[in-house]
Amino acid sequence: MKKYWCFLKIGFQVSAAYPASIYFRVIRHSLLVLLFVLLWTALFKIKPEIGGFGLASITTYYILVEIIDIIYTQTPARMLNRDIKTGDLSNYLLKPLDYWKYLLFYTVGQQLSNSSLSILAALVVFIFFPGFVILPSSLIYFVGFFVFSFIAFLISHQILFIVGTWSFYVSEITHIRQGINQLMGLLGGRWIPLSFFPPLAISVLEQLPFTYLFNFPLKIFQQQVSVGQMGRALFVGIIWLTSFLIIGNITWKKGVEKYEAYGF
Amino acid sequence: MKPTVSKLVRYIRIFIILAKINYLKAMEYRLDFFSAVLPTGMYSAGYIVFINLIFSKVPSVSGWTFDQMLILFAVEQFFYYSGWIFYRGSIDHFPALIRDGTFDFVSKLPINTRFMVSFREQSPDILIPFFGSILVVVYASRNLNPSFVGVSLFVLFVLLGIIMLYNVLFTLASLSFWTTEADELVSLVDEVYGFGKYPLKIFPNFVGLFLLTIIPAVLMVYVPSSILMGIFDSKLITLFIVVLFVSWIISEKVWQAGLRHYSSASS
Repeated sequence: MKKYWCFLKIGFQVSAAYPASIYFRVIRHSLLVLLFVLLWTALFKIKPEIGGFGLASITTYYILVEIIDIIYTQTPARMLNRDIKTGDLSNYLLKPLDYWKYLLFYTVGQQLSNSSLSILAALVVFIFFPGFVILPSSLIYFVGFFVFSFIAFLISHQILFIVGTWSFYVSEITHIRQGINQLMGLLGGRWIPLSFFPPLAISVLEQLPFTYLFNFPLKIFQQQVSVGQMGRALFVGIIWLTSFLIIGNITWKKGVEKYEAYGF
Repeated sequence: MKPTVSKLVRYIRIFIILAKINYLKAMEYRLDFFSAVLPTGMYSAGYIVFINLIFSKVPSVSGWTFDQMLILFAVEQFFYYSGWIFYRGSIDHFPALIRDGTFDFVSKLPINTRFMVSFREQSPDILIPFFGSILVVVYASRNLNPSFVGVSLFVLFVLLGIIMLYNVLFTLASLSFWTTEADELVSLVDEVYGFGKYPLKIFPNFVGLFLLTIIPAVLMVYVPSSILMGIFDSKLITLFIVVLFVSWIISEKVWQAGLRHYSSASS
């Protein structure tokens, strides 16, 4: 297990070696928050409350969307695709390590580095612009937010790992990967809170695993769910995660059976 | 006159050859080539669902209707995709040429270096979403009945807007001669260009001014879109022409200064 912690450290160090890309990523995400806040400010001039949201709650929503979006990454699919295409996967298959665990720990290390500055930036906004954001009044919602964000990260990681295993069959998956990433965002509430959708669409979307990516963690932060609902959602979320782990295991094993590489 | 025409024909031929090479490279992975429509389609679907849901709650966005917002979006996407088809891949790759020391292989070719740096790498896989954005413009303007003059001016300003966007991105990429973070700057400005799909009125005065002049994201999208809608704002049209020329002059000056500053990696 010690070796996987080393991969976490390496992922962190590789990402931290290019601090400029972290700074620019924070600036890019901040620009998106600014854009949505300006748009919604213009909308709230027509109506003071839209879809149950006011300016402060919608600003909070988009700040958290961008923070969560920084946590997610397409690295599992990208790295697996690269390793299969180049044949580097053989290196990992010959070594006494589990490729999935290596990928997970490396990605966690990388994202810890990438998201550290954005969390700092968010704290600055929360402290110096209290009128623009609404914080939970109870610790349980803070804890729930972090727990569900972690589950969301694992679900996202696993979905993209499964997409990465398609590289065993189609070599180049860049656009497929990006398309699925966009789809997860659309169905997960990245563009707009799911509560804005028609009731029938909401009832369908809330059954899908993508609701755990943005919508549900943000509902917890904004105290729009009860503790009981959190508990039920945790159970369902773990079932989704387990299902994706099983599917990922199957697609990985089938892919490795088919895998061929030159050299050695 | 003759040498200029023959030079132009020569560069057109080279451009076509580059386009063929990039097409063959893209078709090496056919499924990925055709699946380029996935992320672009999902992004477009996301935006259209987003503004649909907004318009289900409010009658307009700063006085702009749904179809007008759709035109802004489609024109912004058209600029984005046309950039990627023709020059964006090359501009993105340029900082790496400087960093890796392989710029010499490009600069020593018997061809204009700026041309090679700008058009060597193209993305023909973006053609499908590119035509998709044109269809969205046609759909969104179905109730407008623009005149022939209006459509012609719209096409003209769209072409000029492509050049304006190219000038700005090329200027930023040319900063690679001095800094290793130029590619991050280009990506950052890309994000700013996304502001162009929203009406000018939503931006406070100082932000609007910035988006009309320094990074002309809104100017580039707003002027041709408003012409198509039959709105002829002479001040903004004049500003468009001025910014276009200024951006070209700045891009050329920065490029030439960068070439003078560049020291080769080889002896």
